[in-house]
Amino acid sequence: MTRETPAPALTKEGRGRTRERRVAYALVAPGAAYLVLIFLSIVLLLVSYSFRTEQTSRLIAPFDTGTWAEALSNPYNLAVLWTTLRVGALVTLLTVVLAYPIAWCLLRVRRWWVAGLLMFVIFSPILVSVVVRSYGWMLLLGHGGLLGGVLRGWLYHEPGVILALVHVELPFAVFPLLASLRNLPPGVLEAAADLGAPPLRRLRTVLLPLTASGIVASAQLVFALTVSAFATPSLLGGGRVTVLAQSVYQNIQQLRWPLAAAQALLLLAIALAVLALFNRLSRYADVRHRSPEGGDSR
Amino acid sequence: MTPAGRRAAAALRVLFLALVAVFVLLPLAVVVVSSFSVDETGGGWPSGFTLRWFQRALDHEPFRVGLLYSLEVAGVATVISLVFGTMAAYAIARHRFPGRELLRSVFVMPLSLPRVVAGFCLFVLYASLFPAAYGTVGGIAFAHCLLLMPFVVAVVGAALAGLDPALEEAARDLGSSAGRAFWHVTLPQIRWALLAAGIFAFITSFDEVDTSVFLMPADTTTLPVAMFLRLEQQQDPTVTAMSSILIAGSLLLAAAAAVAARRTGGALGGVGATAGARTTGPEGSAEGEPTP
Repeated sequence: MTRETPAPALTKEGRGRTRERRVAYALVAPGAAYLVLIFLSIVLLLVSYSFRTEQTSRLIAPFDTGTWAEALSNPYNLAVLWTTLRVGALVTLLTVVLAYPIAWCLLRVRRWWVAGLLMFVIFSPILVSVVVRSYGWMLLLGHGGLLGGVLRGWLYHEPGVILALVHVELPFAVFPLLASLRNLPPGVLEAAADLGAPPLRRLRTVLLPLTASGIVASAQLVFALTVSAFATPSLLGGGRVTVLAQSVYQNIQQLRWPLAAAQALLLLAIALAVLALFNRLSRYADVRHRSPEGGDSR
Repeated sequence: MTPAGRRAAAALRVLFLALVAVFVLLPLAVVVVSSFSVDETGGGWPSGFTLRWFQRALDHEPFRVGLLYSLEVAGVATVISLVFGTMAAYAIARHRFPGRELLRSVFVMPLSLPRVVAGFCLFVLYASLFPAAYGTVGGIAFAHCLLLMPFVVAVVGAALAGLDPALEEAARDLGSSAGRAFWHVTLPQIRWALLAAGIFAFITSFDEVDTSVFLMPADTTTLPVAMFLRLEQQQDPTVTAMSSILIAGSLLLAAAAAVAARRTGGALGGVGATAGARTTGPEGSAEGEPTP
């Protein structure tokens, strides 16, 4: 920690503020330096590796766009990209559609211990290893498994991957929706009902617009987590369903580091693009429910 | 709505939530039941019960080594991220300085970084600059801090924001040093938040696969990676038994974390805030049970 150096020009108060700043910077420095190191290395190493074709561990290599051409034009790599986006979109849709009524019903449970127990049931799987949860689905969907008969052929194919991913991401989808439904102004639904709006209309014109920001937040989180999921698609896909995250790993094992770097950058680009897109959407959602007739209706 | 209609709606809601609970718990339940089964292929109802898979799982070399490895990594990563994360959270919560808002967002940024990307990147970093870090406890713990730090900063930051700074100022005015005031006044008030953050960080690190799998050779790995690599080859009852042990451990710690979170009131909100940080920003921390 920095010792106070004599600075006669400063007033006592000014000196105190400088000192306070130094302390603050000293406190955040290690964590921030660590994060900046990682971010810098991501940009420099990934970009540097993706613009070469030979696998070397040297930091500088001849500039070459061949790897990018392969990542973006090879049919197999394009199929991987497409699978990643398709699985991401489907899982997001299914998870949010399932999570919304869960959040709605959870907030209407009267007995506190039932509500607490249900919260625990829904959120505690976050703490169980993804490998274990995926394995549970492998057992269920496998030959002789409880669901192996009904859902025959789901294991090691896309439906199985999607089912397990919905299970893994569900708690993350419920959380933002709970927050958003809890902030619903009291009485709006009753008011709509008193004015004669039938249930479906209340859902479409009152409930959904007022909780749009929660829906957007929930979808954003699930999509971001799903496109970067690795263990679940690897295990449930059994090599037949390949997403970007797996491809990065496989390319490293096959010593194709440049291609892995290009695909890692693609994955990062998708994650950041989704973040930006959904942030825009959520601003739009917010503006809508702050529109004049909504105003400060409380 | 008529009273009868209301009762029917309530019954429907209960039924729906019960089905959801079954969906959520089924994959875990099937693992636990299968781990006691005498059958080699799990997934169905067992034809008899045995404990031998647990014995075999704990005798299986990669699992035994992996369990210790994972505990060491999780311990080191948790301590490092708690110390540096708390320091940063404290500075951001209590001091006004230029760049504060920027730093706040820097600390949640890792959440938008896909873990596989972080893993690949650190792999290349180690391969080209620090070959000695590859496959060591320190190297993997260093990588895990990236995933744990945002969480610690969010939970501890939320707890600090709920405190009255006047208490610490009073201690300072009565002549104690900044360090002593923090240690004796602030730290005891955030101890439950630290415990909740620590438990969650420990489990996150212990269970980590996506980043870790890049950072160690396939023959000596942490436990979840060992299980993952084995499952890629074959399903067998030792993995099932090991999974049951992990489920039991996770649920015990989850219960402990829930208790710790109740004590702080806001810490569970912190969990959600971290989960939602990349989306909702500061308003996410408004979630969580209000302290009575």
